[in-house]
Formats: sequence, structure tokens, C-alpha cells
Amino acid sequence: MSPRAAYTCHFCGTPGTGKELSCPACGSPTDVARVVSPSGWEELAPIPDLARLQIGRSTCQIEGELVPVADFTLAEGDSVYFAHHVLLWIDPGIGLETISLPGFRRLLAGMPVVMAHARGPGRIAFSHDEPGELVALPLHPGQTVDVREHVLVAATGDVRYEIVNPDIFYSARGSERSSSHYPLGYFMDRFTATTRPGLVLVHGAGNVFTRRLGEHESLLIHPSALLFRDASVAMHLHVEYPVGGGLSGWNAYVWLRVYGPGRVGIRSAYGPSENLSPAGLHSDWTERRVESTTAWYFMRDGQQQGPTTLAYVQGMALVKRLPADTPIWAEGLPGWLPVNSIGLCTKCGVEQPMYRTKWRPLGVKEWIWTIVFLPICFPFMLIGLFMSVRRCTRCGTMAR
Amino acid sequence: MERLRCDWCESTNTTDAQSCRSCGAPLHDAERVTDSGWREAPRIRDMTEIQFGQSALRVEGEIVPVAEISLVEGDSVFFEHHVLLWKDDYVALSVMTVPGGMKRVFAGMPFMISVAQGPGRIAFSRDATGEVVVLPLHPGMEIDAREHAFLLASHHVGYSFVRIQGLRNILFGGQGMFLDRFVSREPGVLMLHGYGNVLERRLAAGESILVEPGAFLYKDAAVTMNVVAVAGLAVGLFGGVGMNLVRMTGPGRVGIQSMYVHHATE
Repeated sequence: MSPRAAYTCHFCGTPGTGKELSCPACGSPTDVARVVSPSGWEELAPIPDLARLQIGRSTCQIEGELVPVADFTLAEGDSVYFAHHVLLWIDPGIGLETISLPGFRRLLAGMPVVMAHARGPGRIAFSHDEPGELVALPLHPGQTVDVREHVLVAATGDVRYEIVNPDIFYSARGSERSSSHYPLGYFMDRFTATTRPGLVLVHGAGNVFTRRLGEHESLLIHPSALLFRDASVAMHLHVEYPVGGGLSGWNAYVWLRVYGPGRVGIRSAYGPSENLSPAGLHSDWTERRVESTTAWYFMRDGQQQGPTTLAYVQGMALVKRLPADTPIWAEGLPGWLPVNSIGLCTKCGVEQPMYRTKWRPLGVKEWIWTIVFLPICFPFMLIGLFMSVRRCTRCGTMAR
Repeated sequence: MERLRCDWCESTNTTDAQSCRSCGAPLHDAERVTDSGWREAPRIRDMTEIQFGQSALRVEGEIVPVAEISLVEGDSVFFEHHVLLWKDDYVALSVMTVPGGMKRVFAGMPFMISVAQGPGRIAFSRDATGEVVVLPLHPGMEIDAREHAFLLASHHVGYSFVRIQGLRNILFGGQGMFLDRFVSREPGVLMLHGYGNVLERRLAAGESILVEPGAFLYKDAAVTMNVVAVAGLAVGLFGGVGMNLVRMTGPGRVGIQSMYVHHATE
């Protein structure tokens, strides 16, 4: 019987004896109090200077704290792969070769089309040319992690590498011209440990924070701040129009909404933002256009859940964590209605549900207009009778 | 009752406090002052909590620090929109229109300032390696900060701007056309982000110092600022390219940053 582990790394979950100063798998210090902000973000404790990570028979030593260096000592038969621009120095005896990556699209996306591969025995060191932190992501067999592009420092040879399309994009109308934005890049790097444990080293600009989201927990983060996510974490765009900013979209906030379960990592330096007016083509998103005060309830597995926001339920349906026709209810609705039939009235000034219904003249004014312009309107009314619209439960405003 | 006085912001704290509750400066560390009279901005320890109103502000990280705020009902902060890192879903965002809209647009400055109302949590960070400087504002204080340097301010603080006087100052001052001016009628907090390390010096009345324009971060409103050409350093065919520095004249505080940032003025 193996001796019981005295310590479990809070970052990567690897059991240890607790006698080491840092976790041998990911380098997180074992001798410091766990640093968690009250909001639930866990600040990644910087890997201590000269800490050693053990990967099979090879080791990786982390050197420096502002722009840290990953110094690998590769044993015979072990290997690492990396993008060529992070190489700092190398022993002359180490074997270097290139791996060609499929995909002309990678070339268009500005991503490396060739990965360098270093085979032991020998020493090789990497650093990313930016102040920040090195994040070690140990992978257990079968575990998968998605990392934003251009932040990979190195991965051990046994880890499978592929690219995935995050499908997060939007068009924006700027002050001078329209532009397309891919805040996570065209692709994300996906790393999977197959039969043996592996290690992925990534570089986070600034400070890195991680958070473990629970089942159905969601959070809004700056899209460009996302550093990595577990493959189980779902995400989509969310656009929020601040109250008083008008509905034209100027000064809108574009968020990335992430859903648990799983870990997400963010970095505190994430590139410049600009004033944008999202318009035109975009990936699936939810919107919040007016002040949100309505409490929404929905049914999951036959049980009533809530209160929550409409955007949350719509987002859960978007990422297929809920059926598209999930029953939802709020004050003012005639009953439980499918979430895909619900909208929000933008005329009322506050969040007011609109639900899908057949078009019918309701007020006196509508009846007068209908009778006066009946000959002209008749064809359109005929279409309208078969066309469903959304009608506000408060002011009667109709929208598609 | 014995109280501890913060060297940085002069607020008083209880003797058992480790850091100042108004600005986050460590209370038991000696103030670091250079031989030339510059004092370093306090190195706010990771996860230090700062109180303003009923809300709490926490500084996290040390390379590109994050300011995370737990807002209570009725409290709010304002900020430029591009410094938002994350927020709780239910934190309401709105917009505060700043007077002088078109002038500010031409100067490349935001004419709409975003406001986040409590309750809820929201976090900010600016995309550069540096330090967060917390300046508690007491009633009547006026502080000028360079464009795009402010991270956030509490709703107690009044926000306006002053136009930099003189074409030479605009063209060669490195500050753009405007300075942000923060005026406080009741106690509030202002957070600036300095690129690199931040140093502060208190100038006596009439005392002046020459500062690289890109290094200027903030000053008391009483400090005057003028661009001067350094004689003997002009280069080029007609000596048209010279070196310009900003002359700061007291009385008041001047804050500088160790990484230079020059805003375009075209």
C-alpha cells in the first residue's frame, strides 16, 4: 500500500509529500497560504525562482520572476516542442527538428506553421519576450486544455497538439471604418495528454488568475484576457450597452461569458481596447440593452430554477447546456414560454419581456389605421396574420 | 488612543493595522526616499484591502496589478471603458457624459466616462507593467493627472479637465491637449496606473524641476507646468530637433513614472 499523500497541490491537484517547497508538477509553492480573493479568483502564486518541475525523468527549472525562463534538462528519449521564437539558448548536442503543422489557414492567421522539436539528452531554455508569469499546466492522461494562441512556451513530446476554432468573432463599426475582431484569435491551441502525463508551459502577460467554475456557474470576462480554459468550459460573446450610452452601440462592452464546470485562467495585461460599435456578422451572442431588473425563472430537469437574468438562460441555451425551448417565466408573461420566443423591449427603458405572438391590432389607434388603410395594408396584413412577432408585455411594442 | 499615521496619504489608522485603510501603503515599512528627495510610491502588498465609503477595494498582483472592487448598494466608481477586466453579471454599467465633448473627441480623449454601480464586484487593470497609485482625496484637493493615466475614481470625486495652455506645451509637452482634473468635495479615492515605478516629490513654493515629458504622471493643481527647450542639444541640419523638458514649479506634489509614455498630439 502506498503511503498517503500529505499534500495536494491546490492548482493542479497533484498529490505530494508536502516536503517540497514547490509542487513538482506545476511549480506552485507549497509553503505559502493559498491566496484567494473574496470574489473567488485565485491568484496564481508565482513559481519561485529556481523551482524545479519533474516531468518523467526530465526536469524543468524556472529562473527569474519578471520575464521568467524555463530551463529544461531533457533525459534520453524525452522531448519538448515549442514555437521557434521563444528559444533562449540550447546545448550544442541537443537534437532539433521541425514538425510541419497542417493548415494554410494557420499561415493566414499569423500562427507558426512549423513547430520546433527538441530531443534529449541535453539542456534547452525558453523565455517569452514580455513581463509576466509562466503557468505550468500538468495534464493527466485524457485531460485536455485549450490555450489562446501565441502564448505557448513549450509542451512535452507526449502531449497531443491540435488547433480548434473558438468561434468567437464580431464585426465592429469604428470611427473611421468597420473591422472584424477575433478576441481569442482565429484558433486556440488544444493540448491533450494521451497515455502518459504531460506538461504544457504557457506565458501569461502581467499577473495570472485562475478560477474554478462550478456546474452552471457563469462569469463575464474581457475576451482578450482569457489565457486558458478546461475543455469542459463553454463560452460565447455577450454585448452590454451601458445605460445612458444610447442604443446605437457606441461604447458597448463586448464580454466573453464563460460557463463551468472547469477552470479558466485570465491575465491582467490583455492588449488595448477601443471604442466599438458591434454590428454586422458575429458569432452567437447574448445582449443586455436596458437596465436589467426582471427576475427570470426557468425549468431544468423538471425543477424550477432562478431567479436569474434572461441573458444567462439564453446563453445556456446557446452553448447547449439547456434545450433551445427551455420553459422560462417572468412577471408579466402569460405563462411558461420557450426561451427562444422571448426578447426584451428596448422602448420601455427598463427590461420588459416580449414574447412571440401572432400580429393583431390591439388598441383603438391600430384599429383606425387598419380600417383606413385596409385596401393598401391588406396584403401585408395577410402576411402578418401568418407571421409571428414579439410583443412587449408593457407598452405593446412589436419587433421581429 | 494611539494611532498610526500613513506616510503616503497622511490618513490615521489603528495601531494593529498592517496597511493603510485609505491608500493600502504598508504602515510598518520605512518610507523609501532617494538622496535627491524623490519618494517611491508605496509598494502595495498583494491582496491589500482599501476602504472607500462602504465599499472595499483590493489590489491583486504585482506585475500588472488588478484593482478589484466590491461595491455596496449606492456606491459607484467611474473609469475609462477599456480598463475593465471582469465583472459580476448584475453590476449595472452606465455612462457619464463629460462636458466639452467635441473638443475631447478631437483630442482623442473619451467624452463618455463609464460608471459602475453597486452592488457587485468588478475588476480593472491597465495593459502595462507598472504600479497602481492610490491617492485618497480630501475635501478641497485638486489633482491633475495625465491623459489615460487614471484607472478609476470613486463617485465622491468630481471629474473635469483642463486644457494645456500654449501651443508649445501641447506640441512638445508629451501630454496631449488636456489634463484630467479631479476635485473632491467629500473624501474619495483616485487610482492611477503608472508605467514602471512611480516616484513623488513635493516642491516648495517657487521650487522647480525639469522632467522628461513622457514621465509626468500627476501633480497638484497648484503646480505649474511649462515646456522648455534644453539649450545645446539641438541636432539636425537646422537644429530643428531639440530636447524638450517640462518645467514643474511648486508649491505641490509632482508624480512621475519610470517608463516614458508619449501621447500623439496630431
